Amino acid sequence: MGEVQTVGHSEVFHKLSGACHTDVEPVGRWFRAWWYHHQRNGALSGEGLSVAESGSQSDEEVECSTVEIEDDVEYLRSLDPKEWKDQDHYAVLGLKKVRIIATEDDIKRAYRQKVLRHHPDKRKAAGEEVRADDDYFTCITKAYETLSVASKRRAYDSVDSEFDDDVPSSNAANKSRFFEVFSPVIAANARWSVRSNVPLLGDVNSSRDHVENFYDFWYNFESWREFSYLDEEEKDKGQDREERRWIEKQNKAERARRKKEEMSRLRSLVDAAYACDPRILRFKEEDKQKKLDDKKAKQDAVRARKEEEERKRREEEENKLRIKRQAEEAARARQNAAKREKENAKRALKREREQLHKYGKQFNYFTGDEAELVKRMADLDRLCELLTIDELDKLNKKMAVVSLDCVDQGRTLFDEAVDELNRRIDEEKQQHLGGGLAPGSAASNGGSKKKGGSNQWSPEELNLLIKAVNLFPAGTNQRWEVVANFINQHHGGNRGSKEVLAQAKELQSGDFSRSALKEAANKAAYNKFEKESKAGPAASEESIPSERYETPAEQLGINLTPWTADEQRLLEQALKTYPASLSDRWERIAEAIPNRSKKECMKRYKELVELVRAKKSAQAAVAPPKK
Amino acid sequence: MSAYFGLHVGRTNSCVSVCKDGKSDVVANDAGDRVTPSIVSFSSEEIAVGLPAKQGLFRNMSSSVVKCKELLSWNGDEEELAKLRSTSVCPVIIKNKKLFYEVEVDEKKKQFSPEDILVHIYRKLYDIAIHHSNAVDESMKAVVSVPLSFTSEQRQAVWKAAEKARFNVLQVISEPAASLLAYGVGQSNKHETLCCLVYRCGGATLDVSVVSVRGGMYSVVSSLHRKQGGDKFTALVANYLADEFQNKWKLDPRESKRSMFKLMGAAEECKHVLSTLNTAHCFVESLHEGVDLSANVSRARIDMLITQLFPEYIGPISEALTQAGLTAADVHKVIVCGGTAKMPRLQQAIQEALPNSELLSNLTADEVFAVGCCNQAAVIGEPWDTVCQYKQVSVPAISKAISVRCGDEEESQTTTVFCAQTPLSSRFSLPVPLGKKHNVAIVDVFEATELVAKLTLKNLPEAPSVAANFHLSSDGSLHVTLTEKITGVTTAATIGTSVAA
Repeated sequence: MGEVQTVGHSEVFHKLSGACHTDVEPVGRWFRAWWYHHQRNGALSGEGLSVAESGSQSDEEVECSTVEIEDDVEYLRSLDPKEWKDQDHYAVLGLKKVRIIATEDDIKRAYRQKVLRHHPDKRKAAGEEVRADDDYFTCITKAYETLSVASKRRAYDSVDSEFDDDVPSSNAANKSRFFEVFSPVIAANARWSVRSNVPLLGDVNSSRDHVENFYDFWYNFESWREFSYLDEEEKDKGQDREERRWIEKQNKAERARRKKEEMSRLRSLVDAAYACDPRILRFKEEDKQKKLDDKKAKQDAVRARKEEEERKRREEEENKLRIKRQAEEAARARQNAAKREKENAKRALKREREQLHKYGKQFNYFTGDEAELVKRMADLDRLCELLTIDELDKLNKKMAVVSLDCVDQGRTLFDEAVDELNRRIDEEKQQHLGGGLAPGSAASNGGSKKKGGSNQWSPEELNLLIKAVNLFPAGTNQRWEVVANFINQHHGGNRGSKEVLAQAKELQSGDFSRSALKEAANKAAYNKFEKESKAGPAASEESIPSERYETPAEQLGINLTPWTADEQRLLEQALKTYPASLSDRWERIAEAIPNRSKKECMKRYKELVELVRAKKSAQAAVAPPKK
Repeated sequence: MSAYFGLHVGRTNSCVSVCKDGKSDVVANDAGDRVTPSIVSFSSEEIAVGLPAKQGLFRNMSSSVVKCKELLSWNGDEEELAKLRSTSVCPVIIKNKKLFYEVEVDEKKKQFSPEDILVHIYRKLYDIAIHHSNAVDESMKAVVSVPLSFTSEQRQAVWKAAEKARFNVLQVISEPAASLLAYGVGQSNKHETLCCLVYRCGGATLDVSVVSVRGGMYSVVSSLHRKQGGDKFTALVANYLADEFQNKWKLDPRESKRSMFKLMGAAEECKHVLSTLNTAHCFVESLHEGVDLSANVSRARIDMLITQLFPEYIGPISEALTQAGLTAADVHKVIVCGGTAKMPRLQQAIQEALPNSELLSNLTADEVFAVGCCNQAAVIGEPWDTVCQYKQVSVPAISKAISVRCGDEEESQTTTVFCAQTPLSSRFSLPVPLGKKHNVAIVDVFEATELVAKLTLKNLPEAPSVAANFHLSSDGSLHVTLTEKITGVTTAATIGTSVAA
C-alpha cells in the first residue's frame, strides 16, 4: 500500500437517451440466452426476484438457466456407494428440486460443482478424513454417469421415486372437482410422452376440438417410460453366456410386465378422466340434443310437407267443389230461367187465350144464333189450342182494334182466323195423307204410278188380298201366283202376280195413310160417327187432329175387339179430363169408357203413344228433304 | 448426446446435415451425394424423390414436380403465377385461391399441393437422416430453414410438412440467419460487431441480404431477391456444348427438346465438377440422332463464358448495400451459399466487389444453410415457437453508441464500448491505459458525442492494473465500474435512462 489512499470518484452528467428496439433473427445462443432471461424476468418479476441480482451475475450465468444447485453434505455423507442404485441421483447432484426438468447442461454444471467441492483430494487438502475405498464421491460419479447418458437417465427417470403413480378413481367426489383432481395428474404424466406438445386437460371452457384432441392423444399415448433400471440382476454379472441370456430373459419379461402395468395405469387414468369429464358429458348431451333436434327438424319438415300437401289437396277439392257447385247453380239458373220462360210463355199463351175468349165473349162469339154459337165456341177453342202465341197475339191485337160496335168486323177477323187455321190443318192433313202419294205423283217412279194409277185396287180386292195373304202363308209354292188367282177368281179382275206382290208389300210397309183402304175406312168411320153423335155438344171432328183418326184403322188387324171410334173419342176425352197427376186416373178413364177395362185402356193408351211417337219420328225423318 | 438435424429444401436441391457432439456435418444421401435434387416424380408404382426423379425427369414430364418452393412462396401475384407456370414442368392450377400441381399418374389426374410435395422431400431427407444415425428411437430433432420472405403461415406450413415427415421440428429459421450460424458468426464472441453480407445464388434465384451482428444477435438490414440463378449459367454451358457438338457432327441438338434436356443435365454436372476441378469431361450417350457427346471442358473456358453474366449477378450486392445505407467497405464478412455460388470465378468476383471483407467459403456453398440449421438445433435443443409467430423478435437495444475515452487528454483515442442498437443486457470490460500521470486513471463515458459520466481513480499505487467494466442492464441503464485490481479500490457510476424502465 502506498502512503496515500487510492481514491475513486465518479460523476454522472446525463442520463442515457432511452432504449430503442431492434429486430433480430431468433437464432443463436445469445438470442436464446436473452430470450430465456427475458422470459424468466417477465415471469418472475412479480415474485420479487430482483432483476439487479440476476443481472449482477456473470455473463455465463445470465446465459444459462439459474438452476440452483444445492449442496447437502449431510445427505452425501450418509450415502453408501454400494447402494448407489437406490440413491436419488438428482439429490446427489443437488438437483433434487428440478429433477426431470434439469437440462443436460444443468447436470454437467452440477457435477462439476460437486467435483470441485467433494473431490477426495480436495477434502484431503482441507484436512478431512477420507476413506479410500468407499467414499461418497463414488456416488456422485455414479449419479453423473447415470444422468449424463440419455438412455440411462431415461431409465432412471422412468422409475423416479418422486413420481406419483396414483390414478384418481372415477367417483362422484372426483367428478365434482374434476379439474382440480385431474389437471395436476395429467400434467405430471405428460412427461412420459414420446411426442412433445402434450395437450393438457384445459379447463371447463376448452373448445371441443381441444377436448377431442386431448382424449385422442391420451388414448394413443406413447410412453417412453421403461423399467430397465429395476432389473433384478445386471446382465453383465452372468458367469457365462447361458446365464447372461437367462438373466436377460428374466429382465425382459419383468420389464414387459411393468410396461404393461404402466400402460394400463395410464389407460385407467385416461378412462377415469373421460368418465369424470364434465365436458364430455356436456358434449354427449349436446350431441344427443343435436340429434334430437335434427330428428325433430326432420319430422317437422315431413309434417310440414304433409300438411302442405293436405292443404293443397283440400284446396283443390274445394276448388272442384266450388266449380261444380257453380256449374250446378248455373245449370239450375238456366233451368229456372227456362222454366220461367216456359211459364211466362205459358202464362202469355194463357193470357192470350183468355183474351181471345174474352173477345169471343165480348162479341158474343160473333153470332146470335145458338147453334152457331157452339160451333163458334168450338172454333174459338180450337184457335186457342192450335194457334201459336204470336198468332194469338196478332189476332188479339187485331181484335183489340175492333170496336164493340162493329161485330161484323170482329167476325170477319175471327172467321179469317178460323179459315186460316182450317186451311192450315187441311194442308197438314194433305201433307200427311199425300206424303206417300206426293212422291208417287211427283217423283219419277213412273212404273208404280202407272200400275198403281191404271189399276186402282178396290177395297174388295184389298180385302181379298189380305184374306189371300193370310190364307196362303209365306212358303206356299208360287205364293203370289196363287194369291193373284184367288183374287181374280173371287173378284173377277185381272191381277198379275207381280201386281199382287207390289200391293201386298205396300200394305205391309205399314204406311196406311197412303193406302186407299185407310181413306175408305176413315170415311166409313166418320160417317158412322156423325150419325151417332149428332147430339154431341162441342165435339167436332176438326177439333181433333186428323192423325188421331188413323189409329183405329191401324189397329184393325191387331186387336180382337178393336177400339171403335166412339171408344177412341171417349178415351181421348177421358185422358184430357183426368190429368196424369191423379192417382186413380186409369180407373176413372176406364169408368168413362163403357165396355173397356182399365187394363185395356192403359194398353190402348200405350199403343197410341207408341204410334204417335213412331209417326213423329217418321215425320222428322221425312221432314228435312221436304223442306 | 443426441443428434440434431438441419434441413434445407431449396428450389433445386435439398440438403440435410447433422450436429452431433458439437460437430456438424452434412449427411450424404443413398447415392453418396451431399445434396439431393428437390424433384418429386409420381408413377403408378412409386413416388420417386431426388436423383431417380431427376434422371427420369425428361421421360415423365407430366408427372414430375420441380421447384415446389416457388409455389410455396407464391403470394397471390398473377404475373408471378404465369412465370411459375412457365417454369413448372407439370400444370399448375388454382383451386380455392391455392395452387395445386396437377400430376398425371396412371393417366389419372391427381392434385398435389406444394405442401404435399414438400412432405415427400422431407420424407426423403428423413430417410437419409435415419440412415445416417442408425437409431430409430432418436427423436429426430431438426431445424428447418426457409427464405427470409416467408410469412408466418408459410413457415407454419413448412413446419407441418416436416413434422408429417416424422421430424421433430424445433424451429423454422430464415436462410440468412442459418448461413451466419453455419459459420458461427458472433457466436463465440458476443462483442463482435459485424456487418455480414449473405450472397445466396441457387439454381433459380438470387438473394442478397445484409445482416448486422451486434451482441451476438443477427438483424437483417436489407435483403434483395432476384429471379435469376444458376440456370442461366447452365444454359450458357449447354449452349456452348451444343455449339461444339454442332461443329463436330453438323447436328444441332437444339432441335430436339429431349436432346436439350440431356444436354442441360450434362452441362449442370459439368458446371459442378468445374467448381472443384480444373477440367471436366462431359459425356452424353446418344445425345442427338444416336451420336454421343464427348467433350472436355476446362474451367477457363467456363469462366470465360460466364463472365459476361457477372454484372447481373454482382449488381445486386451494391444495390442491397445501398438499401442498407452502407458501402462496400463496411462489409466485414461475406458468406456465399447456394449451388451456383460454388463457382470459384463467381466467388472471386464477389470478393472483388467487396474488397475489405473476408469471404467465408470453407463450407460448401450449397450446404451452408443445412449446417446452420443443425447448429441452431443443437443450440436450442427443444421446440421453440411452434406456431412460427416470431419471424423476428424485437429486442430492446440502446439507441446510441456508447464509447469511452481513457486518459485525461483531449486527443486520446475514444473506444466504442457498445455500438448503437446493441441489444440490452450486455457487458464489456477493458483495461484502462493510464494517462501521463501514472497514478490517475480517468474514464469519460460518452453517449454518441455527449459526455455522460466521468470516473476517476486517483492516488493509484505503483504499476496499477485498472479495468473498466461496463454493464448494460436489461432496463437500459449503464453501470460502469472502474477497479484497481491490486488494491481492489472501485468507483462506480450508474447512468440511468431518461425513459423510465
